[in-house]
Amino acid sequence: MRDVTFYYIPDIYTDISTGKTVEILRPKIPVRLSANFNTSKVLIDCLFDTGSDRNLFPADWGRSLGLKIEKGKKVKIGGIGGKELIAYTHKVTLHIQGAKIVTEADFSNEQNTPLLGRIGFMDKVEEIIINEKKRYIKISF
Amino acid sequence: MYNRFMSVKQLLKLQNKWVAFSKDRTEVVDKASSLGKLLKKIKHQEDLVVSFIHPADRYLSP
Repeated sequence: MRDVTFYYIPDIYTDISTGKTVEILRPKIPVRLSANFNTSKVLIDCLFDTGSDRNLFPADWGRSLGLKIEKGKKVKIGGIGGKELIAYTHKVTLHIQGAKIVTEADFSNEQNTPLLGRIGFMDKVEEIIINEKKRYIKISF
Repeated sequence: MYNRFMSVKQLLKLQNKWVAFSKDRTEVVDKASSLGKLLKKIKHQEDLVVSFIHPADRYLSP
């Protein structure tokens, strides 16, 4: 078993009470993706999202690896606000700090932020510790 | 402890864009309005980290 710690990544948002733009730290994990016998050269930050049932990635990421996105199994994804997305499921491998996770991901033309969800990511690792006070996630592969 | 790679002012200029950072995240290598466009621009470069900078006026609730 190998432990890897990911510190939250600085992002920005507007504080409602002051109206000022301030820093916010978000749990993002850099991932290299393999699919269709191709592996992405770059790492892409994916939001670690315990509220997401499955992995959901922007369709452009899959297309850059040669995936014919619309040839995948069509699925409907419902968001918290009731918004429905159409996505297509493909087999992929996630490369995270030397660990390989063979899994499935849904790709959507309507999704910008890549999401790592519970099924297909969190259930594929040994243990996850989230420390919100110190702003890190420790994953045991 | 996390690393503060860029100032709020620098990030604000990048909001709502896909950004390719150097591996240590201190330098912006390229940026684009969509992931597809950015990946085409940087396709021959390795070891970059790509991130979507969420618009500052919206909470992130996927």
